[in-house]
Amino acid sequence: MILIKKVLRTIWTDKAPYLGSMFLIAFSCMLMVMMNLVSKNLNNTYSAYKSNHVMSDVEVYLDTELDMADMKKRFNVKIEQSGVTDYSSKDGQILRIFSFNTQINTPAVSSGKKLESGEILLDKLYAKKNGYEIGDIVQIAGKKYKYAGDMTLPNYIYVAKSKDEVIRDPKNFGLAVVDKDDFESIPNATPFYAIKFNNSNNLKAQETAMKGYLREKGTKIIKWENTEKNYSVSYVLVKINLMGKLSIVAPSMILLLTCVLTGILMWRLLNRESVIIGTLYAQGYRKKELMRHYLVFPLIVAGMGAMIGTIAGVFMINFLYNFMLTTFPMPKEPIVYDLGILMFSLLLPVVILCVSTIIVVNRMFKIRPSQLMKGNKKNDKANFIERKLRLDKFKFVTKFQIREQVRSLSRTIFLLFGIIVATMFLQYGLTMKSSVDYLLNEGISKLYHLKYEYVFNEYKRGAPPKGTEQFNTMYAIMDDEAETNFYITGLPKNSTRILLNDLKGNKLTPDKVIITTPLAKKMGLTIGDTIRFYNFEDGKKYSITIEEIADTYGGEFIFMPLSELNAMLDLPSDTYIGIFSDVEMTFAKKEIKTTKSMDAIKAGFHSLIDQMGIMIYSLTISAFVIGLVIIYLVTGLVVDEHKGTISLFKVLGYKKKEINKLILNSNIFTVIIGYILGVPLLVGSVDVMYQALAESLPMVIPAKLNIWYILLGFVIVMLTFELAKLMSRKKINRIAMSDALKSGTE
Amino acid sequence: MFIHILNLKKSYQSGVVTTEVLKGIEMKLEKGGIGVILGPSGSGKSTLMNIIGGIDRGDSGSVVVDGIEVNQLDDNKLTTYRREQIGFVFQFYNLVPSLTVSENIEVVSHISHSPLNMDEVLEAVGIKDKKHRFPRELSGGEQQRVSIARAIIKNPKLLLCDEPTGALDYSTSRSILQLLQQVNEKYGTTILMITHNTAIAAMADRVFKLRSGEIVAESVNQIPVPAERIEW
Ligand SMILES: Nc1ncnc2c1ncn2[C@@H]1O[C@H](COP(=O)(O)OP(=O)(O)OP(=O)(O)O)[C@@H](O)[C@H]1O
Ligand SMILES: [Mg+2]
Repeated sequence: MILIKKVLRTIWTDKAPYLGSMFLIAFSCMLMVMMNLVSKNLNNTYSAYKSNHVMSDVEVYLDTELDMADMKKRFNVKIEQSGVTDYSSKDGQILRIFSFNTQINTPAVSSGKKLESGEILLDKLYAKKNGYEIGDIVQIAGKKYKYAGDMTLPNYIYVAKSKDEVIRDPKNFGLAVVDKDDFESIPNATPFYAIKFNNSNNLKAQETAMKGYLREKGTKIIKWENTEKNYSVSYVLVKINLMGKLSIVAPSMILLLTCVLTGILMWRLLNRESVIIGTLYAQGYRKKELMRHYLVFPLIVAGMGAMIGTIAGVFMINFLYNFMLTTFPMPKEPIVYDLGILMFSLLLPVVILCVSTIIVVNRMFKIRPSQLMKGNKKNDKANFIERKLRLDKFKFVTKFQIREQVRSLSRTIFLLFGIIVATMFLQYGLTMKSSVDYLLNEGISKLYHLKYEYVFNEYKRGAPPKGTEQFNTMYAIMDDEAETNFYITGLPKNSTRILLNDLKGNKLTPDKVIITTPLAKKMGLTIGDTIRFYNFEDGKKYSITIEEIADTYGGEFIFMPLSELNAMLDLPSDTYIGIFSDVEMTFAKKEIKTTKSMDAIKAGFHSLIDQMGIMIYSLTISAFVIGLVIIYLVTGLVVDEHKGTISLFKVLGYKKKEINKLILNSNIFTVIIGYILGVPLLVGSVDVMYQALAESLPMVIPAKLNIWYILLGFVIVMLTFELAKLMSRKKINRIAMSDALKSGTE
Repeated sequence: MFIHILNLKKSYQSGVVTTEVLKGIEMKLEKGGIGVILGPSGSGKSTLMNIIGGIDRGDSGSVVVDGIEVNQLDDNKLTTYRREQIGFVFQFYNLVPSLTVSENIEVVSHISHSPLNMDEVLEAVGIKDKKHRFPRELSGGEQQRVSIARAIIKNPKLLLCDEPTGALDYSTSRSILQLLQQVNEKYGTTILMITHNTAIAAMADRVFKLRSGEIVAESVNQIPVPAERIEW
């Protein structure tokens, strides 16, 4: 058909909207494909790792030796005895050494060689950061080991020292594996049992049965650690889940919105073709032929865009995938390209744009060709709002601007929608950052007024050391399916270290039972609710009633008066287990159980966020680019649809400045309203997203947008709008006066 | 002389082909007069008028309107010239569809130094009762009245009408021509009008016949006929 040439020429002469749409689609498809496939592949990698290297279900620390043969028979499990120890060298470095397992939690050795006696495997980053080359000698407890290769452990994927200090510091903390016989000779090792249930259904029940059996036998369970709930594995899961959800929610939303937007754009672009469609129709072209012809537009724009984007996405996968594997070392699996996702990314834009085209062209067929040829403008009546508006009191410029917005409500709504979408994209990353900032500044910093927390091995009594404040804790486990666990902390009634506010902002003193917001949200509790739980230490059951909710996101806690907690635990009222201090203190090593530094905790949070960072920032930048293109496209559209008016105004002697003001500034209110609507919509949707993530995240994050970020976002949107106006100005200058003289339409 | 054109030439270049549209036009029109340009399609009528109105520029020759050498003005001065001196009436009215009748007129009064009174002009063109209507709620003749009102509100020295009755029926055309004649009398506006219709020439002071870019005949009506008496 000769008309194909016409399509290409139309696209070429009016490049901006078509290429802009193509770009938007390509970009969104790329994001979609990349994020989805990386997330899918990470998931596969994790599953493969879990099964190939037999990740344990639980790791159990007991006070006696276990009769493994008996247990295997009784519970249909695999068990392997294992051991761990922290070896600290002089300069404060800690190497966490495991014994080499052969059945459960088998290390993934990069060299593939078996580990010989006298050899040691290290985690790659630690080795690299500390300058170890294969063949080097590593000294441990006076014994020399040959560094034989790198390994990763399925039960220790995220290499951080502890749950509280989640920052990864490969210079000072690393993992190592030595042969079982060699391991015997390392002092202070803690033995534990790695257990894998052969039947992976109903793990909880099987665990409960096993725990019950052990208790019955009089074995004390020191620690029962669910491997996938252990931070070193759960962070990987969180990350994969987060990425999975983010990659489904965010890019799909972006893609969908982009498609809707470009669909509307296509609609408006084709509407301009009504004269031509009418003429061709009148000259005997069949509907089918015309439809086929106009479908070329979406096929080119969406088809090319989707193809370019999808291919680009596929190329980007490897890069992101490798990056993720350095953070979470796992044996690399071959990349799987999910055909469904690729097809979705290729087809969705094409389908939406084609549907939009079919609807708009079909609508035109309903109008008589003679009417179409006249531009299909004369018959539409003044709308209700237009008729009602009496603007006599306003200045002409204002009148014109209001009239223009009201005249083409659909265009105004399109612009509004475009701005809302652009705003949401722009603010997306800022909201995430804002939320985390809030968590850190408002949450942690406002809650804790201390630098160090020391927890002792044994209860102490009486007054705490000078300058410190004492507390007692109990590790509570809910008697429910989820086995939610949290600390109940007893504080002096006049605590100055932990400061709490209620939801109205009033100060709360810890003379009541106070629950923090995240924990209350997680368990769905309000004031007056009574919860029943058991003490992890001795398994005894207790219950308390919530009296206040504290407005803090600093952690999942219940605070209560120290004396009451002690009474509940049957301890003398001046008992404490730990102290808060502003200065670093030294205690005998065996006296202290854990030491926490608030700075390290904060650093940990930051590092956790930084890991999400690359994703968040790349999404933000992408969103920004998309937002900019959207605003430009929409502004350009406004100019195009005003061609006649602009040309007329030029003839009538309007100056460039005046025209720019009339045409481009008439949208400013729409832009502002769009922004104002966009912000709460975004915060709302981020909140929904966080809530969806709450189960998989180690913390509850409030969706907050800092007032400064709101202003910043506004400035960015306005600057973008100004930039788009600037670019549109050229377009206005190019419009010829003869346009007004030739046609009578608008 | 109010309009004085000497040896005006204009050609268009499209690709390698150069079309000479105006081949040395000579033209004069007195202040307060009505001039009519007749000629077949493609003869260069609109081109000539556009140059006079400062929308387009001639290649050579001089175009003086009320002492202003139009052909020498730069873009900014041309804009000012159009804005202050010229009123335009088009065949297809070219009203802004989103604006009401009075707002459409305001498009022009808003940028002119000393516009006439809006109600007076609305009265003069006979659409005072329709000032809050939108263009699409008016007939073609009414729309052309609005367009004339828009052109005269700034009290232009020169009113340029490119086939003002081209899209109208017989009786409406006549009433529009009548209106133009009234404007000419009431405000002393010089009018230059393009038409296909030779009968209309009767109402002009001067008639210019254009063919292939040249004025082939020029005639002077000593006693112009009132528009209501013109028939075709
Ligand atoms: N922008 C342009 N580029 C090239 N040629 C042009 C351009 N504008 C007009 N022409 C040519 O100039 C000639 C005169 O055009 P003009 O519009 O002045 O004619 P006209 O007498 O007004 O005709 P009509 O009665 O049909 O309106 C025509 O042959 C036309 O093709
Ligand atoms: Mg013409």
